[in-house]
Formats: sequence, C-alpha cells, structure tokens
Amino acid sequence: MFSSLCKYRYVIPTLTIFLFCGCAGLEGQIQKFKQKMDQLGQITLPDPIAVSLDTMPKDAAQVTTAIHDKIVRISQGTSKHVRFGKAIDAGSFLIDKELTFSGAELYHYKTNINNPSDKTIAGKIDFEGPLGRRTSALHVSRFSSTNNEIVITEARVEPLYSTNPEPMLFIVPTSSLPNNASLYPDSYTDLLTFVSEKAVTPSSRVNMIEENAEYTIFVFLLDRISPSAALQVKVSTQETGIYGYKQTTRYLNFNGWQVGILSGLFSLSDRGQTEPLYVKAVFVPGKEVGKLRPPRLIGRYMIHNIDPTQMRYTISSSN
Amino acid sequence: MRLQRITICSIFILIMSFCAVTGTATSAVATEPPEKLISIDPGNAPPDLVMVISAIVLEMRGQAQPKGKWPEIVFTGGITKGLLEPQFRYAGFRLLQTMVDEYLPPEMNNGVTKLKGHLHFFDAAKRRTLVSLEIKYEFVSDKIIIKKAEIRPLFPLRPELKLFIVPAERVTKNDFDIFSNNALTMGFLLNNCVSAGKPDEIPKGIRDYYVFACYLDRLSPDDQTELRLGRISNGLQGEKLAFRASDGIAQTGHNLLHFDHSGWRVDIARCRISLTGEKLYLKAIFQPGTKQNKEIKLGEPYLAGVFPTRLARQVPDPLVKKTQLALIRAGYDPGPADGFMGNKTHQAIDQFQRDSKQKAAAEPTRDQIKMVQAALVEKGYKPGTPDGIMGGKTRRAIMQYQHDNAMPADGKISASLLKKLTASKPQRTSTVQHAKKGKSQVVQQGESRTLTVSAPSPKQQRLKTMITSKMWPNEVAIP
Repeated sequence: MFSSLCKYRYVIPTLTIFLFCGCAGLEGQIQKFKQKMDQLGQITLPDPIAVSLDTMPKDAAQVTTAIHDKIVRISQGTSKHVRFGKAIDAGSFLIDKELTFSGAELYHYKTNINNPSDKTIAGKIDFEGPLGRRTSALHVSRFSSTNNEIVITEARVEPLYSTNPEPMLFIVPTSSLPNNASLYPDSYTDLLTFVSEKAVTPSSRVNMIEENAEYTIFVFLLDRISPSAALQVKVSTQETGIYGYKQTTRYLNFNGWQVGILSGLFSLSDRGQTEPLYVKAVFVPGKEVGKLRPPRLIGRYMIHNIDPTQMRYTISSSN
Repeated sequence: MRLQRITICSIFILIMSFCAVTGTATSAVATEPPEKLISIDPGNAPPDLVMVISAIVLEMRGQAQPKGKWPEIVFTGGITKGLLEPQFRYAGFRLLQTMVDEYLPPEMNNGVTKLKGHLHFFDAAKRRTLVSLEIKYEFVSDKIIIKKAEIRPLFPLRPELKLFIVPAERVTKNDFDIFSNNALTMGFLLNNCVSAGKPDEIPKGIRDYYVFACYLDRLSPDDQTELRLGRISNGLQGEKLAFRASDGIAQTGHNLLHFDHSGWRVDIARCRISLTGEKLYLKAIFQPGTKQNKEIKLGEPYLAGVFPTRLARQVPDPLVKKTQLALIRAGYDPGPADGFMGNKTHQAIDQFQRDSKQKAAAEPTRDQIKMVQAALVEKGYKPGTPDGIMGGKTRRAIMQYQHDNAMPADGKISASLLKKLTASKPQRTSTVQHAKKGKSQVVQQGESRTLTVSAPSPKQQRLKTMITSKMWPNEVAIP
C-alpha cells in the first residue's frame, strides 16, 4: 500500500499511455498517444481530495501538521494530541530554514474497514522561500485515532522533485562580477540577491548600443529538482528545438536548486541584428519519471531579435 | 571712344576663365542674375575692373595685396571686415566665373565707379558657391580707392549633391571625428564607399549602411534637408531616414546627423537595405529656408537627388527567405520563399502588421497580465511569477479570484477584472485565512498547533519586486 502510493509519480505517466493503448480504438490510439507523449517526463499527481488544511478531515490535517513539524524539526508547539508511534525517517528531506509552509494537499484518505480507527493518508506539503524558491514533500502516513489522541504508527516522507521547474533568467555585465566564480555568494538566496542587484533590466535594452559586450547569464531554477535530473543552459539562433551551444555553461547545485551560468559576448539590442539570439533552459528529468526522460524546453529568452516589420527593407503601405 | 565702349557695356558679363571646367552646373539661385548677359573676351575687359575684382578676392581670402605690379588699391576703413567671413576664407576654391550685371563708369556716376556682379567659386571636389558683389571705387592719381565693397553668399534653390553608401561595419565611432573636416570626409568616403563599378565587391543581402549625402552647393543654415527611402523613383514619398542616438554620437537636434563644412552640408543616415535585392530609392529632399533669402518665402520641398539602391544584379536574400518562411508558417501568403522581396511578400508583411495590431488590441498586453499577476500575488493567490505571460497558473488564479468574488470564472482578463483588482484593497496579512488552494491554515484550537503562511517582510517584498523587474520574460509557458 505504502509503496504503491509513494510510487504515484513513477507509475502514472507510463500507466496512462498503456491505458490509452489498451482501451482506445486503433484509429484514435496514435493521436491520443501523441498527445500523452507530451506528458512524458513529468509527474502527474492524482486529483486532490482536499487542497488546504481547513478542507481536510480534522485528523488528516493534524497528522499533516505533525509531519510538517517533523520535517522542519519543530519540537515545541506540536499538538499534544498527536504523537509518533515510532521515529520516522525524514532525513532525506532537508530544506533550508528560510523555506516555510505554503500549502498542503490531500490525495488519499482511507479508513481500514476492519479497524475504523486505523487510517491511511497520502498528501503533499508545499514549502516556499521569501524569494519564490520552493519545494514539496510527499508523505504517506498510517495512524490510529482515538477520542483524545492520534498515534502515527507509520509514516514515510520523500521529497517531491519538480518535473516542471520554473527558470528565472538574469543578465549581468561581466565587469560587475568577481573574476573568480569561487567568490560568488555561496547560498542560493545570497547569489540570487547578488545577481538581481547587478542585473540589467530587460526594458533597458532599447537604449543599449548594439556593439557586443561581455555579459554573464544566470538561470536560476525556482523549483528543486532531483539529483538525477539536470538543467542545461544553451545559446541558439534557432527559436525552436532544444539544441544550442552549451559547452561553456557552468552549473551550481544548491541542494537540488540548480543555477546555470554562461558568459560570453552578447548584444542585447534588437537593432542591427541579422540573426535572433535565444537563451534556452532545457530540463532533463530525473529517474523518478521512469526510463523515458526526454529533455524538455522550460525556458526560452529572446536576447535580441530581428523583426521583419521593423526592417528598413519594408516600407509601410501608407508611404 | 572710351565713353562709347562704356555705354555699350553698361551691362555686360566678364568671364575670367582661370581654369577649364567642363560640365559646369548652374544652380538656380535665390537672387536671380540679370537676364541680359553679354559675354566678352576677358582681354577686352576694363583693366581697372579686373584689378579691383582680383583685389576683392584676395581680401576675401585674407591674403595680402601684390605690390608694384598694379596701381595701389586702397580699402578705406572698415571695408575689409565686410569682405571676410568669420570661418571661411575660400581656401582651395578657385574663381571660375565673374558675372557683372552693372557697371557705371565715373563719368556717369559723379566720378565714382559702381560695379555689381557675382563671383562663382569652385574647388577640386566640385563644391561651388556663388557670391554677390557690390563695389564703389574711384581713381585718385595712381591709386584706386575702394569706398564700398560688400559681398553676400547666395544660396541655391536647386542644390546638387553626391551620395555615398558605406557598409556600417566600415564606419567606427572614431571615424565620426574626422567627418567635421570636408577633405578627410571625402577621402574616407572614396576609400570605403560601395561602388557600382565593382559589382563583385558589393555586399549581398540586407545589411546596415551609412548613407552620406554630400551637397555640392553651399547651403543656408536654415535650409532643411532630409533623406528618405522609397519604393518609387519620382515624388517625395518615402520613409524618413534617421540617425540613431545609439550610434554613439551626440544628438544634433536633427533627425539626420548633419556635418556643416562652412555651409557645405554632409547628411548622414543609417538604413537597412540590400544593394542586391529589391530596387528602392534613396531620395535627398531639400527645402530652402528664408533666413538668408528674405525676399523669398520658404520654398517647397524639392527632390534634390534620387539614387537607386540596387547596385548589382539581384540575388536571393537569406533574410528575406527566412521572413517569407516565417510568414508562411504564420499562415500568410508571401509567395514562394525564394528570397526575393516582391509585391506578395510586401503585402503579406503589411497584412501581418495589421493583424498584429488588431491582435494586440484584442488581447491583454504583457504589462496588463503582469499587473494582474502582481495584484493576485498581493491578494494571496498563486499566479506564479509575475512575468506577463498568461500561463495555466495565472488562468487558474484568475478563475479562483473570479469565483471568490462572484464573477464569471472564465479565467480571462477583462476590464471588470482589472477594475476589481485595482479597486479592492490588498489582503496582505498573515492572520487572514485564505480560502485559496494552498493558503489555508489550521487555526489554533485547543492544544492544536497553527500552521500559518508567513507574509514576506517589507525588505523581502522589495527584494522580490527587484528580482521580478530584472527577470527576462520567458517565452515558454510553465504549466
């Protein structure tokens, strides 16, 4: 039971494809398969039965709160009515102190028919930092509730790595950065703060001269990704596709929150450009999504563009 | 005999040919020369007239009068100053023509000789200028006393110009330092301009070029000039070319960059054209001013020059091909993607422009979406990062907000939604219980612990605002 619930994220994408292949008619199979192929490499959670603590059954909310407290190691203030029957292993789920509770969902709530006081729940607890950094924990808990007390007899907590991480791109003049990357701030939040202070504002590009200048591009992932997943930052003149130049990109990994850093000579101005230039953030899913892990474009940023309508070549019809 | 000759020549023209210049263009001038012109052999001109005009030209150039050769010519006080222009000495210019339109001998003018005429100067670069002249002088023993001498530059109503096209990459910022000097400018242009006589060296495809319009005639400071790019050769129609501030040169207050070489103007504009593609026309438009020619009104704009842009055989342009393919992908019909800019391609681009405008008017702008996202975040909803992109998170957050506020939950940005979002006060407090997904808390009940969503501190909020403003917009919608 536990293992099957915990493996939601492993099973669902594959299962969906097999269901479609098995049930649908041959005519529609290919089309539907193609549609579902888009979901490959992603975790699809089941529909929640409660999307907040106050809409959960009271005992499920109390257990979820206790699990949360265990994760963030709050010793004080834990409900006197909830205790753990045995120690749970939440050690694999390490988060910074700055990440705080931002929500909870419940996917499974089942009462044992033979013993109504014995219940099993599965849910998700979300954490978010002040600058938008976030992660989630998936938990499955078995507990017995009596009139005055809830005893969590078994619980399992695992990090729920994002398969749709959200990237943020900043462009910083290289001259304003330390020469040695080892001198960069050594925490995600400090680096993000440092970079955003030095970064150029996208709207300022219209005033920029078109000569190339040395810039460093930072791509931060707001979401935590699994150790087997990867972020790739590439530069390309092609709008479509996931390919591009990536040989000089360096990566920093802050306990699952990755940052891609790429330096080079760029022009941020649209003017005088004969080729558009894109920075692409490509995500390679981790092992948690199964054997098929197709890389996916999660971010495309137009550094400069050629606009056919702005070309001097074209004269508007009003002339 | 002498009196008879003077009477006949009361109005005549004297041509002093110092050099043989072929193809001399005569520009119409603001002050028209006399209609009745008589050419005579310079050898037959009165010697005093030749001597006086030579002396005037020497004075205009700031040079000393020759001594011993001719009778002494004396300028009475203050006259010399009137012959000098503050910053121009006609250096390098040769006197090509002297046109005399009034010559009154002393016998007819109380002993004073009166002369009115024009001086026509040329230089090696075929620049030219016309100066009106009015002189009064008399003979005293063996001297010529000049009592009055006035010159006035005359400016053409129909100036001529030469046009040079230089690939943008050949012009550096430092080159602009030399453009204030005419000789250096001409040298630069002759070395770097694209020549139709060398078709193999003409760059292919759409590129950036600097266009230099070098006027051969001296222009008045209030004459107006501009450069346009048009599809048809006749008429003044065309897109006005400009010089961009981003080219690193100080703004001149004009759309064009003007270099004024003592009245000989060089206009510089930058444009994006193909010298091997569609035939367009660079047009120099001239509009005479009134400052120096008060007797005339501000003239109508005049097409001073038309120059086709295609200097070599047309070849397919990869950029045009890319544009055509993009238009085809977007559902337009630019004709075959052959790399030639034809009528169909033009029409497709025009249609694309019109559609883009309509689409932009119908759909919320990126700023509007960003504003809605920011307002939703402020109210405790989760539309994702305020990036101005309408993604799934934003749509869901809008639906949730609409549902909570008894509005039709269609997930679309409407005027009523914007009004509601901007009118209502933010609910930014950690103690408020949010009904939205992921924002609920357990309120303290008995010994139960309370889980709260902590609101960011003002410092964190400022930091987040700064981060949002520095983020580059992501074109990929995050589900």
